[in-house]
Amino acid sequence: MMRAQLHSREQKLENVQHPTFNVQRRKGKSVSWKVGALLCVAMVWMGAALQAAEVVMEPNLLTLKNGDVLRGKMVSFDPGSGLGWTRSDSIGTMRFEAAKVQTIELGPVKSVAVSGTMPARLRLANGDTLDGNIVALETNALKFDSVCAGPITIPRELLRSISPQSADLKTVFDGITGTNGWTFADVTSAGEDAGYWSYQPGAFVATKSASVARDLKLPDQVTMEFDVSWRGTLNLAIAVYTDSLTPISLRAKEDEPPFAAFYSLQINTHSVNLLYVSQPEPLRNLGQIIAPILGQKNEAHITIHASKERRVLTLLIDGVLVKEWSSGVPAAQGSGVRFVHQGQGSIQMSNLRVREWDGRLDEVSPTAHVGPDEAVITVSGEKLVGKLESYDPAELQLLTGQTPFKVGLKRVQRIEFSPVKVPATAPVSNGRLARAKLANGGVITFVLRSWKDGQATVVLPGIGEVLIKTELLQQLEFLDEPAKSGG
Amino acid sequence: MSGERKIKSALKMWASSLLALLCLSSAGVTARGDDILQLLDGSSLHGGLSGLEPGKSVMWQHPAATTPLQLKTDNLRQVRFGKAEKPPVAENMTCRLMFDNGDEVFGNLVQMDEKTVELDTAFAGRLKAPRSAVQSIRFLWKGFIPTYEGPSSPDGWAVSPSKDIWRYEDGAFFSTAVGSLGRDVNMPGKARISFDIAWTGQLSLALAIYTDSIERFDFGASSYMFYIGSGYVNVQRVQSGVGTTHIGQAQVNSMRERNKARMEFRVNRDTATIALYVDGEFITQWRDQGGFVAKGTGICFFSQRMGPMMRLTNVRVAEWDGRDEAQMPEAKPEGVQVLYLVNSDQAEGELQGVQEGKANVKTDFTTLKIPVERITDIYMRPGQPMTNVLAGEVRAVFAGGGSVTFTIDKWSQDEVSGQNRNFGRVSLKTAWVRRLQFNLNRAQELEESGFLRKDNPWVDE
Repeated sequence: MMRAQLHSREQKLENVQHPTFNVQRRKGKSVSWKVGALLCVAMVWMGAALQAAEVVMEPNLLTLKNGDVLRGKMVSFDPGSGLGWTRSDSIGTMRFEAAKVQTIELGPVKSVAVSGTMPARLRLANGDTLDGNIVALETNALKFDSVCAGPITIPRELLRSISPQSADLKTVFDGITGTNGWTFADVTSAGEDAGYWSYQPGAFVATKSASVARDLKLPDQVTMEFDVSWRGTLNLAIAVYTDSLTPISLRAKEDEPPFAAFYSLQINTHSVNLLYVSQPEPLRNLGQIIAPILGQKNEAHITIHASKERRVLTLLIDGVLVKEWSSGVPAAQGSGVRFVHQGQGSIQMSNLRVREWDGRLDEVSPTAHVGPDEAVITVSGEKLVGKLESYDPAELQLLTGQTPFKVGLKRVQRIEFSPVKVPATAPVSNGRLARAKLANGGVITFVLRSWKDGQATVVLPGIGEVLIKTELLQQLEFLDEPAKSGG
Repeated sequence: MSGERKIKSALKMWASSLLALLCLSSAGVTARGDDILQLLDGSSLHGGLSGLEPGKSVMWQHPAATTPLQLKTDNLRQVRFGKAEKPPVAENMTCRLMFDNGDEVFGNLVQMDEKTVELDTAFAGRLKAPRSAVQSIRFLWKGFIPTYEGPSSPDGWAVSPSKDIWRYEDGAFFSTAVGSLGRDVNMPGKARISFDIAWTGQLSLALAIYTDSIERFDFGASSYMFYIGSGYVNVQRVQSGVGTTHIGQAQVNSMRERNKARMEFRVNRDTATIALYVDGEFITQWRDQGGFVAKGTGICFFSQRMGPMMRLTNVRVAEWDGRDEAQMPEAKPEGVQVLYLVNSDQAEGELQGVQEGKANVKTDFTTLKIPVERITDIYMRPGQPMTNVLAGEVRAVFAGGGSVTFTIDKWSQDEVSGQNRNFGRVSLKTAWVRRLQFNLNRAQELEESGFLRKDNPWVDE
């Protein structure tokens, strides 16, 4: 349980004690002590307000089927007594009928590194995605050491695809935990609407135009993902591979302090646009696409894959590919990232994760592969069809007719399996069917049997009963119907 | 569920309920249902208030909870009661008194002397209060008559083209599709029309007032038609058989920054003017140079977009006296009151009292005896805003308007009573209370801090 005012205090202390919290003006010079003091005063004021208000920020959020929401902490679940829930101000444990629970937000979770020599993301016939390490591919089953549930055996008929992942991908950044290391700046051109991002538990929040940036030492190929929610209009500019930690005025970039070329991804309520910003060159518009989905909602999960060497930038919204910019994209030169809120209203950014990218796109195939054999999709887009005979850290072997065919694992984007009937979910007589979002971004569907003392006992359809550490779960969504074939 | 389990479950529930009820001194209250409990952290629960131990805890019956929920009052924001009745004589009140502690009391001013003010109220009959606690008095000679307040059910509303276009739930209409929602609200010639809207995505709502067409959004029926978007409001006159005429447009920047707003239109048919207020702030006033053409008594909302969700609630149509509220005057020396008169004059001096329908005001030169019918507003302590709410005080907001703040000592199904700093002990019918607000200072601080609660965009302010 966290008290908001405590975080504000911590933030204030961090600001004072850590020189890396650096407030700068747009021109790139350190601000005078007066501006710094004003910012501190503003933060102290906000902290003081929250302190006076004594708002206890409970860690979990329960949403019931009738739309009710309740902060608190999930303490237990079993089919008989339902969901056990507590709050700091509740007297006794509250109990809710399992059938009337919709979702439970369990808060930000740290991603977990996959250990092993054959890391992969599996997509199952019911739409689940699991991260882990392939132990062995057998004739009828895949032995898999999953991050969330440990060793499991998955019948081959349940597999929809395997996306190999590189074993040595490093996590660059994992979760917003404070202001330390970030550079906050206002957006001078916004005039009176200029403000600053502020830190709230696990998130940055801005109510006025503001910039927050950090040199994350982005690798040459990077995956960056975060959740964003907004009130009012969305207008978020993300500078990728920038070396400027303060906002750049695109109208007068020639007058800015020297900066290296970067990509400016501009996500608006109705569209997405990518600019290439180089100080000596004219602005280059690399392409715009209408994204009407953002006009109908107030939150989204953003995933950006970028490659300096391949000069590619890809955007997915809520896991769906929106656009890949790959044609005529010049090279960016910096290694930092900057988020500039330039919309009207409030915005919140959370669950920011940055990691190396191996160049493979983890998206759902738009059309399912059909046929008795498997299809291997390479990173260059080729499709090879054959019987998957073996899978090892270096290569996999396909049997095409009578001819064995080897493909280097690094060339493989994913292996697709023919869709099969989704196995009937285990009878839900003793539990509740649920879908969970996992720390690494995966999703699993299961029958939740019990939840107690940090462990959940669940039954994975077609796989069996396993134990899951509840700290690995980010969200639980309770389902009415057995999961259908996903895609 | 097996019979044995059912019995066990029932016994368990009964035992838990009994235990919880024993903890409450005000036990025995039956939940009214359709109520909403809101907490300071944004949590929001439907159900019913089944018990309240003053200053300690509330007992809440929730439809999804297997046992009643018991919460300390520390983090409560308010209970909103789905069904509330207006106090019986609220329609004849001619004064609104604002007190230092935030009390807003509608009543008839009986008399005022140097120490006390005496008034007839709808909620508690004749009351006396210290004059020093009164901040201002506004005279509402047209009364304070809501011709419609709701929705409390879908009854009386016409939805088109199909019923599910505007879905009614818990005192609100929700829409995610294109369609109209109309009602005859007996629109007075001078009216205040207000409502709360909340939306996802981009807002696109149309509203026709003074229309006879409530079954559908009719561009041929005479009315004044507003187009309300995220950041702007357009108005046009629709004259049957003639066509439409653009009257004006207003930018409302605050609506670009939020996803909810309280809209209010103040319409004066005599002067053909329409004033727009958003979240209590005056935005603009339009005048129809051609005179007021619409003669209907209905209103009709029209959701113009497919997809984004819109919520409409707290719709209120009331008679209006055509006068805008006077602005708080600048600070004056101690003991000086400011009176605004109907002819726009202003009088300053020592208000010695109000007796027999006249206000006695001692100025530097003379003593004025001003008939109260000529007074619009009296500011007792100009320039000194309220409010000084004390910890532990709870505010009851009445259906139809008005509120009192007090320290509750008893809450039951029929009656709520407690100690009010202005009136002493007060006792109210529970059914009159629309909202019961807790932790008033902390709620205010949270609002001012800009603390963002993303959890539930539909929680009312």
